[in-house]
Amino acid sequence: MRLKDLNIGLQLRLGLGLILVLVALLGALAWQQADALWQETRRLHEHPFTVTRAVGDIKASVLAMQKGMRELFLAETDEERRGIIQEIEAQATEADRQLSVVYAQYLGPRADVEATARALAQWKPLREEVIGLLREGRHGEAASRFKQVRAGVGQEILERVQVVAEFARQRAERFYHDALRHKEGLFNRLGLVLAGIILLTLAISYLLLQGIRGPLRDLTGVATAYGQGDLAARSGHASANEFGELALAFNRLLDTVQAQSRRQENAVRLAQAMLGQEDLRAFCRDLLQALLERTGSQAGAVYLLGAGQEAFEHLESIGLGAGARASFAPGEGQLGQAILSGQVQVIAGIPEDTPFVFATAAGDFRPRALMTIPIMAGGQALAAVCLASLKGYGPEALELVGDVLVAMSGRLGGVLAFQRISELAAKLEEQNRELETQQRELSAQAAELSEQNIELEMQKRQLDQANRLKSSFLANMSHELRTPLNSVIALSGVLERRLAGAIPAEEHGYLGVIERNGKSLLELINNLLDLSRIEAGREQIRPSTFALPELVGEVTGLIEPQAAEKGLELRASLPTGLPPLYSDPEKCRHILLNLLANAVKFTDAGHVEISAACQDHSMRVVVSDTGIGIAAEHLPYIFDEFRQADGSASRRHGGTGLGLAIAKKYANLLGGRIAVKSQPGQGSTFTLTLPLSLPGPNGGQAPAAPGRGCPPGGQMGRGGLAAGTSQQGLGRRILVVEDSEPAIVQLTDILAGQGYQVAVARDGRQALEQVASQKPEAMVLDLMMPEVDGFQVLGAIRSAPGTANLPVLILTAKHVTGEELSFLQGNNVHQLIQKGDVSKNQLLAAIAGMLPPRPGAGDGPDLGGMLDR
Amino acid sequence: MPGASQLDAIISLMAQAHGRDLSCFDQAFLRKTLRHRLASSGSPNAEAYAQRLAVDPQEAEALWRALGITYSEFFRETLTFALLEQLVLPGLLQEMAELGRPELRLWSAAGAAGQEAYSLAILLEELTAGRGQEAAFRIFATDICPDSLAQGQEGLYEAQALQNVRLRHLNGWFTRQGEAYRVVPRLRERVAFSVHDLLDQRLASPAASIYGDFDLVMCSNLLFYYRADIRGLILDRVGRSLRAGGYLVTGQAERAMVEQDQGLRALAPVTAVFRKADQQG
Repeated sequence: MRLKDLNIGLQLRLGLGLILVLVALLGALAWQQADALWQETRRLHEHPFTVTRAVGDIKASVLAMQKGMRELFLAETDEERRGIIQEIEAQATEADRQLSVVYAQYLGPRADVEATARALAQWKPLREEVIGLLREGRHGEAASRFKQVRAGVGQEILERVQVVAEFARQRAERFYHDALRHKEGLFNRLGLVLAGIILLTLAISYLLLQGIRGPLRDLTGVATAYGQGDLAARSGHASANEFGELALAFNRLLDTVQAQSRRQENAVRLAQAMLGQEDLRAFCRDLLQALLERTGSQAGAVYLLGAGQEAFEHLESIGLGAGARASFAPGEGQLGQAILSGQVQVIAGIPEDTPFVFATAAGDFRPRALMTIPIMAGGQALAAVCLASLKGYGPEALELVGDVLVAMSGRLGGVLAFQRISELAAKLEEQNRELETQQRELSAQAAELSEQNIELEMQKRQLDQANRLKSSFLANMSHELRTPLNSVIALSGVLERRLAGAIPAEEHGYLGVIERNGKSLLELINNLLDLSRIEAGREQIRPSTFALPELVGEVTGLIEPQAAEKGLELRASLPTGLPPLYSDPEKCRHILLNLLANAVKFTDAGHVEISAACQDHSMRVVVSDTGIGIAAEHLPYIFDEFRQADGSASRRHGGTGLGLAIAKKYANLLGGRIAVKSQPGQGSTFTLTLPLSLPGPNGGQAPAAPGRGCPPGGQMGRGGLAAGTSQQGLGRRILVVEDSEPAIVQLTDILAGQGYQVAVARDGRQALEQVASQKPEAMVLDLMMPEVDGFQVLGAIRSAPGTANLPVLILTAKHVTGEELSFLQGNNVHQLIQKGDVSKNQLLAAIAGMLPPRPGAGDGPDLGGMLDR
Repeated sequence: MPGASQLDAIISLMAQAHGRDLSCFDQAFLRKTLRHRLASSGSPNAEAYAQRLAVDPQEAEALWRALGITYSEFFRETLTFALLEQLVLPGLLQEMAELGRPELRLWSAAGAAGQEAYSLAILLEELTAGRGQEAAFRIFATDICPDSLAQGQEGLYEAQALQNVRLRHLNGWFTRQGEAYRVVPRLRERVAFSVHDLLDQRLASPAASIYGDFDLVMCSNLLFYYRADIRGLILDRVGRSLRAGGYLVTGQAERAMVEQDQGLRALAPVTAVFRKADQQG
């Protein structure tokens, strides 16, 4: 393994460890040398020094003993002597002790020490001899002996000791030199070791520095180069240690940063593409193109959630076949489910029947993978972008889509909102224009109205005043008129009776004239009073239950004389079993009287007939005459006050012209109505229709005739209002060929309402089958039908012998061309009717008209059929 | 503002170059629309616009579309619908029962996307509710614009068109779909949509209705777009499609135009509901 590959930690540990070991080595060496010096010093101390000191002590003791001996000579008392002797003995002991020290430590020949010991041992008996002599008082002897001893033994001792001391001094000298030599050697060795350690440390430091600075410089260089734009710059450093890892990590970091910036650039390009357009379709096309280019897709489509939020509808696509244009519901199929998840998804494993196929000149290809991108807004998928690729999608494509998804959602939402706002603005503008037009009309109207209002207000005021005047005038004047008139009539009647035969017949006749005219004047006044009462709303209804035939009998009884006078036949044909009426009998009487009187008045010959019938919940009374009739132009006005058909009639027939007006007003008061039909010279028919039961004030039915209807089988009234329900069909079979359901229902309804038996064929084929199986009496044929159309049906019918003459009515919405028209004419069509260009009655008449006369049926209406219904 | 001669020039140009007849429109409306198109297309003046029209079929189409206003709302004119609900429709239902007519027939002419037709259907459904049996009425909704009809058939409307709808009606007859509302299927089945041109000389009533005979025709906010004589023609044809005693309902602003018609009488002053003269007096 190379040093370079070693761990930096290990390298540092190794280097520092090595230095540590060297320092320890240095320490050990120093310690060992110091110890050696110490041994030398100890030896110096233990031997020469101790010996020299002990020798000194011995010398001192010897000199002290000699001094003691001398003092002993000088001592005068025993006491003194004893003390000195003790002192001498102590010094002798001390000398012996020091001698033993010398003996132990002396490094020279033992003989030297033994000679000293011997000398000391020799001295002792001599000393005691001296002392003994002294005690005996032999001071002279003692003194000579002492001098003898001191010169002999004492000197010998000192000489011996000197020998020993000399030897010790020489020894010490030698030790000193040894130590000096030692010191120099130590210094040399220490210097060498120190130099070695320093060199080694330097070497280790250099190596470590090299190992760290090299890679650092390399990385710095790469970082600088990358920073200056060299995106390919990568560290070439390769080793197994931390720097190797660092370089790898650094390279990876650069790779990631480069990939990131590439992605960002893609995203920016996409965003630019998205910003280019405001129009939804153009925006989607640009977006798709950019997405295809940047994600490596070959085709794509944008779907928009429809207004009903039920399905995603195709908006724009690139490179896809027609199948991709179909709408799909959220959750439906692979796409719908993927969109429902709300996440960008890649679908692999596209099934065979996918609508997503690339449409190319060489044929359709199935993609390998689809990517669905739901565009979310408020937790709901607003739109979906689907991309298809032949190669599949890598993670970069997904990441890129993830990066731009928020921007894309926001932008698409913005464009949608913009489109919506544009639409709303257009709609608003339309509404504005309509409102402006409306407003223009309305303001014109308002101006006109306010003008009219002022005018009307004035008119109303005048009218109110006039009306008040009229009412009070009528009330007052009628009363004022009636009182004298009654007198005139009564008195002229009295005169007529009393003067009968008393005066000439001609003059008597005048009295009759006075009475008649007075009566008609009174009638006029009474009618006027009635009318003013009705108009003032003061007319009261007093309902009760009564039988119509009785009332009719009463009224005809009243009219009979007038009719007889004119030679008219007055007929009353009332069926039995008529229900009783709950109404105001007085007013009914008034109405009938008026109608009958009117009929008699305008009829010069023939008859007047009154008949009654009950229908549902109403009673119908018909008064018909064979009189002069009423011209059509006068019909609308005959119920107006003071109007007769024309002025001349009024003059000829007399009357006030109020009778019919009052009759109509009474009829309305009773909840009924009066209708009239007339032909000049042929007579008139007045029809009074009254509810069987007078509606109460709260709309409910009066108790006298609760929910009573007409008895079944009752006779129908003649003519008049019943015309609308007349029956033409009477079970005759008609085939309607029509493919539109509403048209079928309508035709069936009105035809069945007329009693026809209706068969329906919903297309040409059915029509031919039905004609073959059961031949209808007539056919209503539509032209525009799928497959077999009306022309073909007609052709087929006409060419078959059994149906060559079948009446056919063409009812169509088709605008028929000249050529088609001639075909229809050539095939004997009864009539061509344009749908929408015909009234109900025209249509019914046309259908009735094409039917052949029924064998054995009379010309008149078949009453039996009606009653059997 | 285009002058009278310029207006004539544009009308004849549209007729010759693009086969569109603008002469039927009311002049004031035509002017207003032209002014709007002028601004939208960025033409400086009427001459420049006319020159552009001559060579640009798309602009001609845009002008034609702008003239066909299809704006409408549910229960648009409150007074009119109150009258319909309180008086006219109950009266028609009662009359139907009395005279034994099988069904009521109603026509919403130029009814855009069926807003009027559905409004009528709602009222009739509610008036006949609780009678046990299916209400017998048939409503035809026609317009000249197929797109509007398609929308009506789908029954999907924006909230704005429903601002006059009562909450009760909204809950009962619509389902909410996001921002929009859809008419319930039951109501959709009651209205038959078809294309019909009120200016078509041949037809008095829509082909889908076969024979007209309507109890009520609603034709509101249409007349005032047209010239007086064209209005007369439309009114005449619509009047023919009504049964005797049937009702014509127009917009409030068009009241004065109908009041001149001989065969129709206002139900009450200041209402836009008219009744065809009843032959029986």
